[in-house]
Amino acid sequence: MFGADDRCLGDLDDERAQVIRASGSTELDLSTARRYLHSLPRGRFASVAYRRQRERPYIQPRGGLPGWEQQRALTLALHRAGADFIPLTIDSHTRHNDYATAAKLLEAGHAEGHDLLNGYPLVSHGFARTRELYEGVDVPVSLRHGTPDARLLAEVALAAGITEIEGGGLCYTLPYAKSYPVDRALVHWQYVDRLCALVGPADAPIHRESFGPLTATLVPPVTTVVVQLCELLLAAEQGVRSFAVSYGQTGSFEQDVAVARVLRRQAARLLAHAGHPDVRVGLVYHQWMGAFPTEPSLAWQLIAVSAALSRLVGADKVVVKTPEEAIGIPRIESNAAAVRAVRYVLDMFPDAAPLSSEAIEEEDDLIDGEVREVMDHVLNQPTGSLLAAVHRCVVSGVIDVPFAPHQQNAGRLVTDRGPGRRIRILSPGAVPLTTAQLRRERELLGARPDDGSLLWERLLRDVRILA
Amino acid sequence: MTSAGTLLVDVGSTVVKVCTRWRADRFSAVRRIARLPGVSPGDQVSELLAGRSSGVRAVRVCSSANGGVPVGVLGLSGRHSVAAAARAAVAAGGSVRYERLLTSPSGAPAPPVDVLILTGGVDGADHHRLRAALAGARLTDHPHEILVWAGADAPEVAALLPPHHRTTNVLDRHLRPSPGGLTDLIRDLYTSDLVGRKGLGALADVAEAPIWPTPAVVGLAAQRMSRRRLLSGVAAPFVLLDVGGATTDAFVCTELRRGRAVRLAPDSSVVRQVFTDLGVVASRPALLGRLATDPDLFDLVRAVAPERSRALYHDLCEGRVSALAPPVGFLCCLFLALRRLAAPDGPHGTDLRRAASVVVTGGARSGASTTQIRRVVDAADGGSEVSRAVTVDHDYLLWAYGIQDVPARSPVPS
Amino acid sequence: MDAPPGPVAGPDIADDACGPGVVIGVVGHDIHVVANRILTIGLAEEGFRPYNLGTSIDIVDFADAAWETGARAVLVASINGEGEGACAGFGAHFAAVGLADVLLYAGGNLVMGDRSSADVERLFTGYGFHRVFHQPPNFRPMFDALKRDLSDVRC
Repeated sequence: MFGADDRCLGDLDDERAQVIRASGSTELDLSTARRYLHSLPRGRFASVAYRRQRERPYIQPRGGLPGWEQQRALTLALHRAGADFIPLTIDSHTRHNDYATAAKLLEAGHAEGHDLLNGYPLVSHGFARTRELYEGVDVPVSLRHGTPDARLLAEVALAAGITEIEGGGLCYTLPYAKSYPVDRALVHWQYVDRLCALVGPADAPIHRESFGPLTATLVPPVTTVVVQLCELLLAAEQGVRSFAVSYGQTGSFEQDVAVARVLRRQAARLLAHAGHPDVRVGLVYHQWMGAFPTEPSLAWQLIAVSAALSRLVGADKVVVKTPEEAIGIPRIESNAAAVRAVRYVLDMFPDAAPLSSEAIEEEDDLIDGEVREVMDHVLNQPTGSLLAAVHRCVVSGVIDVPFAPHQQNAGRLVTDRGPGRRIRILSPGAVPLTTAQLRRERELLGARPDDGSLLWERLLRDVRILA
Repeated sequence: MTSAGTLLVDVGSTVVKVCTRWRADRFSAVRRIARLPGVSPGDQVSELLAGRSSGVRAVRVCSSANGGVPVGVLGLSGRHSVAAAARAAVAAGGSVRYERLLTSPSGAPAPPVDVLILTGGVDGADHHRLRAALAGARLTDHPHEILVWAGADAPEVAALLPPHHRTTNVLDRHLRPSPGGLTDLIRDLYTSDLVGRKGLGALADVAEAPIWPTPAVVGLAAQRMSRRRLLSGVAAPFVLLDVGGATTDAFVCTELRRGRAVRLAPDSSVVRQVFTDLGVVASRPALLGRLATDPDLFDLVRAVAPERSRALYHDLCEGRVSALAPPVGFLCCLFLALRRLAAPDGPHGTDLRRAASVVVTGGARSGASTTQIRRVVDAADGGSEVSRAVTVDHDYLLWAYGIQDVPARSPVPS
Repeated sequence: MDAPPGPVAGPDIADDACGPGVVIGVVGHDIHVVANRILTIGLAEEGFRPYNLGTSIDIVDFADAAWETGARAVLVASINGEGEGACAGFGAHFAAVGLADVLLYAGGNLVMGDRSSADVERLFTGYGFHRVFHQPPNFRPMFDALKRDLSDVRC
């Protein structure tokens, strides 16, 4: 495929030392994370959890509050409620590498008695204090953020004993940033991937996860799967051995099942092809990421159905929403209640058999073919490295995320929702699908709706389709 | 790739830099040779080559002699076509002498330039405003040797222009910058037309790659350095400063630019900015003038020469040329360039505090120590205590990395 | 890559599009561009040629874009009232730079807090906007107004 030319970063220690020095931390050094992770009980490792047999998907909420005490209370509440993975969601100033502002607002919020940050400012709290958040907690902690340059954040997280890092150069840049250069984000995530590969114990590697929902607005399955596969391959190349691909509830049951199948199949095929058959791949399902109903009774229904779907698609983990989703950052009690509710639903069917139907087979077949077509295109770019190939494919619109705010995202792919609420490609932009595939997309879209509506009217309605 | 050595040559106004590349990213030490007065650069380098034929199989040349191609930009709007065209010209190593609007005729004629870039409009759009603006443009007020049209691709627009080179529109159909075509054209014009006039024609015939302007070569290295570590201690996001005799060049990772200064072209993530009044030789008078009136002069002298800051302050206020003796002139350029980059309300809007590295390269360094350079960088950033890496490219490696990457044949202009 | 089958209704400005150009953009910093993108698609479907500038756009960007694209109308969107300050003086600026003939529309959630639509309309008309759509339930009224206002423009 690609030359070994640009595969490695060169001397990572040199850059690590610089990143750590620039943070001003006097306690963190190159071996802090490694030493601490080696001393950590294996139950705290996401990769170990993924290897275990289980009867239902793991449950993971989201959650990050600015103050240490608040975050500790949230952590314990979620742990008590039965969360299998504990989240640590980061505030947006830290996500944009503005650590000074995060620290200032943390302090000001403390003084004023109300929250000025929308998450936990991990760099400001530091690794030592953050370790104490997890005293008495025996399950893995997952870092959830949205950071194009997560080098320092990952250093601190790993030193704090966090064993799962979500994100990637595409999934944390295209939907989250307007002008952070995609090539640099990919380079910085290469650092994070390599760091994860280096610091974990041999029997319990650090687990990486990609973020499949992207903009959560009519993203067609092919785009979701291609982004996941690119980030999987980029991580594997840097030595990551435990990885989860993920996606968000599509709104169509058939597509949910088909995407899960295609993700697993193509991940295995491409890893074998790239010479990394030993990488363990998990599958994560995100409950509905679009607009949520404001009425709690409806929000609960959505959470319950979504939980059931995660079981039916055979997910290894489900990321849980809360009934207060439409309002803002959920309260601790609401978050814990959602964990209990999802657990209740999942326990209803401990051993769901794989589902199939004509529609599922049809979706599987079409999505699988589209993914092969686009991945062939990515992997056959005349570039020296996979990273450069992925970057080129973003710039040229081969990888195109609908509704992404990023200036380098082509934004030419257009989708619509067809019968069965399945997401269909209306206009491919520069995504290299075959004539037959585009024709099939058109056929499955069927005749235009008889209400005579225009695309913009349907799109506008679709934004609130489950709200 | 040749296995034997390739001789790399940078022809400057006062110095010729030479080194040998043995294989990818492996170079001999760089030698600096004074330019011989009265001998054309081409002849001087040919002599050098003749004395070095053993073990050297090929030669690559770049040139910063006499500065970049003087360019004028005349376009339809400041935020879109003019901004995109100026950036494209600067990326090609051009020296933008003015940016003017077609719609606001200024009384004074523009200074003469080698290349006048005319631009405006979006392909496929309604061109009624563009046509009206072009009809009113007075090209005679903009003396030039070569006219380039880098605006909308439409016959009725081209018909309004005298004979010209044409390149792809610097704006795409969605009004986004698309500088690639113009960048290539300006570089090609330099290579094909202007190199001859600078006495480099003979060299162009023996070089294995086109003769690029030096800033474009350093830009190649900067782009590569943003993706892969080239110099120890340098990580993205960085600011790279190249202080020369006539100008100071800055190459800035775009993620360091604040808010509205950012309008990303689809495929560029390091931008070049040029300060044409900051240079230690040709621009010395301009530099002195700037310093004497600089509101930050006292910060500057304390950082440049803490042991004699008051004396230097008075010398600079009085405009004494001797005050700029090496390495003071160089340090002053560095300070002013960084201050201008970082000015919150300035056109560059660079957030220096988020830069992981500041890299300094260029021939004007002349004896400044790393400690001095670091002190100046910190002072320019408001005396901050940010622990960022300051790296000095003592061996001119960036230039060598860049020139080895110049494509053997540059793209053919449309 | 094969050519797509038949004409596809996309939001891209088709090569043969010839409706009046319309510049749209959001003042303020909202990163959520969904509505803006749907508006762009809608404009193309309704027979206009849309130029979407994205978010954090100021008065000069809008005017310069009108120059470059020959647009006949500019739609200034504001979400959560963030753009109220940025909208002042629009009409005067456009007139001053020779764009007095460009139609100016403002739309979105234009001001913070509860103020009557009539109040908001008065405020933005004062800024020089020709039409004001505060908290519109839908894009339809705006498209219809645009069609009426630009009915005499031919390409």
